[in-house]
Amino acid sequence: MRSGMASAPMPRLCEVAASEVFQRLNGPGLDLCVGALNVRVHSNVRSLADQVQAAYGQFPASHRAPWIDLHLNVVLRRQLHRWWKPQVDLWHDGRLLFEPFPAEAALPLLEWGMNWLIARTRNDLLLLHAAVVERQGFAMVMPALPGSGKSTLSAALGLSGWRLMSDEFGALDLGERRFRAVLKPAALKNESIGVIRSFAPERARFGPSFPGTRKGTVAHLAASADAVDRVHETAAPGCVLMPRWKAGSPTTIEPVAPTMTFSKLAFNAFNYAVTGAAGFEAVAHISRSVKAWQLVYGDLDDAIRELDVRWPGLIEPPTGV
Amino acid sequence: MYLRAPGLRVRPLGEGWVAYSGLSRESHLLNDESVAMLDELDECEPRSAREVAERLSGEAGMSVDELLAIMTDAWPTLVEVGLVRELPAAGTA
Repeated sequence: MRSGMASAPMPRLCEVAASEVFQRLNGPGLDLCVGALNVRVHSNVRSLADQVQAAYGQFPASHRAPWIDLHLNVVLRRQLHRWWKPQVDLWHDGRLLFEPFPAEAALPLLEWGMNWLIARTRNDLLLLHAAVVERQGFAMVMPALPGSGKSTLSAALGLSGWRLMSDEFGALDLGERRFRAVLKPAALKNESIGVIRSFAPERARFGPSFPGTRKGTVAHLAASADAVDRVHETAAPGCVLMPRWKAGSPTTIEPVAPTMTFSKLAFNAFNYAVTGAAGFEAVAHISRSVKAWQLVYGDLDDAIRELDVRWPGLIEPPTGV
Repeated sequence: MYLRAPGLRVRPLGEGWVAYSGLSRESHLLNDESVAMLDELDECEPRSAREVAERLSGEAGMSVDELLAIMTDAWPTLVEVGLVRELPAAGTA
């Protein structure tokens, strides 16, 4: 930066008027840089502006990305009785993606559509179905099936001094073998919403709750300012953690064999088959070069304390590497 | 007669092995015995089960017939998952 030319920090979405957010959506488009890709969102749905402002509150309000990977348009559907039950469509590059959604649930439609497109288009990255958090430059990758508690755990870690990189995509650069952020609001469901609200009532900032979706009630936890500001920082693989919430269980962290780690990562990747030999080599590399652990927990606070304390040991390289 | 599948990759992993088939684009966990069989195959020069057993016999400290018996069940599996190509006898295709 040239001397005497200090630039003012760009305002965040939560700092501008909702009308300004809507003007962007309904005009030139709102650019969201989530790390590994840039998304431009257009919409004529007024309520979506409020929802995006809440869920993406810490993202820059007037960022213009030099390159857009996904162009999305959430459009109020023309219908005879639209004042009865307005519906919205999601378009991508001139193509209608899904069946219409109730207009009041425009944000979940946008989020699911974005995830669906990321999983099908970013085949330059190995996309593990995993949450990723970072500390000291190392990524803790949490591959897990839905219902295992990975989103709840990663959300709690993100509110406890760890940097959330993604609650959905472990995006591994196949060349550099480093994880890239795909930072979006964490979509929490049903009981998880109350768990995280109680876990950090002062810090957890949610968008509106959407009851009655196919996955029950969904609410989006906004990413922290720190996670947004560091969205371009990559992280080296540090360890693999397979979380499992079990009611009443004490916290245990047990080692997992590399062959099991390989199966878990490959099975939980969105595009393992598409990436072919490169994906195989990347999964074999992670399984060989970092340790993997099974975390079973019944108490979120206790699990986070254990992970904090044991972190240096969790990321020790396996012997022989 | 058998050939290594094109694009086959085998990597050690802990106490086991993982393999990727360029034919089926699938990955598989392998034991030491299967990896030893794959090691004795070539992508271009076909070898019979007996030739593979003969090449492994010294290293394994077992007779060729013993090895042939052990490998009998493994060959069809390796072919089925795309790690090995089996050449049909002429006139049977």
